[in-house]
Amino acid sequence: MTNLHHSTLKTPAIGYAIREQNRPILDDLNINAAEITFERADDPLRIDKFIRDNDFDHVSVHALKLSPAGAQPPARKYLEAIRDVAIENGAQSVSDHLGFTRDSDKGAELGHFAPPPWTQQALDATCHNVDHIQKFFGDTRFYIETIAYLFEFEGTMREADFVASLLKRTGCGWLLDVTNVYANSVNFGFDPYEFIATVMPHAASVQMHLAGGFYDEKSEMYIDSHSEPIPDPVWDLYRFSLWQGIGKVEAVFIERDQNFPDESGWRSEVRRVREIAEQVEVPA
Amino acid sequence: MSAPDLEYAAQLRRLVGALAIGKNDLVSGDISKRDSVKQVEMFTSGNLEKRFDKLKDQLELLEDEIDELDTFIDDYVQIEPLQAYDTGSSDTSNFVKWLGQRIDLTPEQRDLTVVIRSRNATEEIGRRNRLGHVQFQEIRSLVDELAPELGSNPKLTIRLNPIRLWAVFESSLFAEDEDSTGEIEVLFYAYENEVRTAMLEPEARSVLRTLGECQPCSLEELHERVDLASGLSLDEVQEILIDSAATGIVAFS
Repeated sequence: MTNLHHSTLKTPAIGYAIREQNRPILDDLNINAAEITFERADDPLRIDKFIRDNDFDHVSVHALKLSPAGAQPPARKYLEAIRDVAIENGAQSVSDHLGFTRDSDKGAELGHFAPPPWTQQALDATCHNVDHIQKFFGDTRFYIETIAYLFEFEGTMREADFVASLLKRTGCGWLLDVTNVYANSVNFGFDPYEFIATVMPHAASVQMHLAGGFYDEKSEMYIDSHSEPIPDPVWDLYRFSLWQGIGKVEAVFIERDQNFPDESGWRSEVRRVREIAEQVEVPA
Repeated sequence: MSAPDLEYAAQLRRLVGALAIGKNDLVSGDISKRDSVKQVEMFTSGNLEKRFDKLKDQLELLEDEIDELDTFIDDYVQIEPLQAYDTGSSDTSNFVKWLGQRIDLTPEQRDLTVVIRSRNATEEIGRRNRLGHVQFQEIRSLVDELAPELGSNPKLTIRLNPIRLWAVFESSLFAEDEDSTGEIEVLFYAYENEVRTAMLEPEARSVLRTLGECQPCSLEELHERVDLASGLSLDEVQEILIDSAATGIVAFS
């Protein structure tokens, strides 16, 4: 892959969140990273590595149930299961979403993460949990992802300030889901560029997600469905984010979960992700 | 926990308690004044639909056997919240237990729920003993090579698949002999990354149960014990082991 890197600055590792549908193109020369969704890889009877024979510069395990904004840290059993998958696949990082999925370890589960109230109490609990998670994973860096949400709880601070404080206090990485920020900005009327510019200086290390959704006329909301090509406003925001995070963006992953493209679609989208990253890293 | 932590924990208990089963109105006072309960409903209905679809998919075996299965699933997801750290299959096992408390299942229907629960329980055994599973599957790949040595190589040891579960069917639903009556013991076990089922003759069950007590062991050691329990000959034990190895229940090393 190094022959593709023309810059003295490091181009982020780039690839897909692995789905069965994109496995055939994972050896594309523009791909040198992969994200493993933990819940997909956590087959108790698995024999083979989830990434199989592919060789990537950066592998990340993306979890759904660490519930970093929960009231208590995740159970050790769940952390160990993630670590097993990370070790088996040679992962350099682990990530999960800035949200809560359950009330307690033996309680109920939502089935999807909800945003925490943007309050001091939630911030303190989240920092405590992230500290716990980082201590457990040690050298395997933990990234927290900003989520797309359909509603917010009543809070006392802006989300951007919450995230900035969380990154500052814990030193964890930021998984900037560019599409999520775009979706939230459309749905809740804020400036996505300002959001990213506010948070980015506090991130020690950055990963990014890119995806495409659709605008639902009925609800008048942008739905982050991972079902469409990456839209133009997200490409623009991606370029801006790379500039903002120059030198500290470790990896960029495209997520696609529905309406899968054909082979050329898979290849062209990841090629564009790389081309933009290289343009940013090699100023004209 | 400090007072603010306890307060936050109480807040999440209340929110999750409502959102997990779609009681959206209960959080109307918690959401941002700019947002509406309709937006919360989009969130919870999406989650409940996904849960419904997953259950329906995993309960395919019951589809033609339980009247109004969809209605029961629908009721279940709106009454019983998903358990924390649901692994995918745990919700299915909880559903069939819940269903058994709601209606009187026939013996045939109960056997179908036994299949679902046993498959999930076997996976859980695999989850707890992943190393044992991977090691056994590696050894199993040598069966074709080593099976001919059984009976002639005294150093050959016999191992029983560690990811296994015995269950009992009470009806003849799965019996090969339609006239069979009484309970049937069945073995669920891991084969590569799937769960397989074996209905074994009493002699084979006896050999495997004895093997479970003394493994890893040689054919001679195993036969000594089996002989005491059931009087099977060495050739008979050997034949059972070869058959069991071919199906992935035992392996040689």
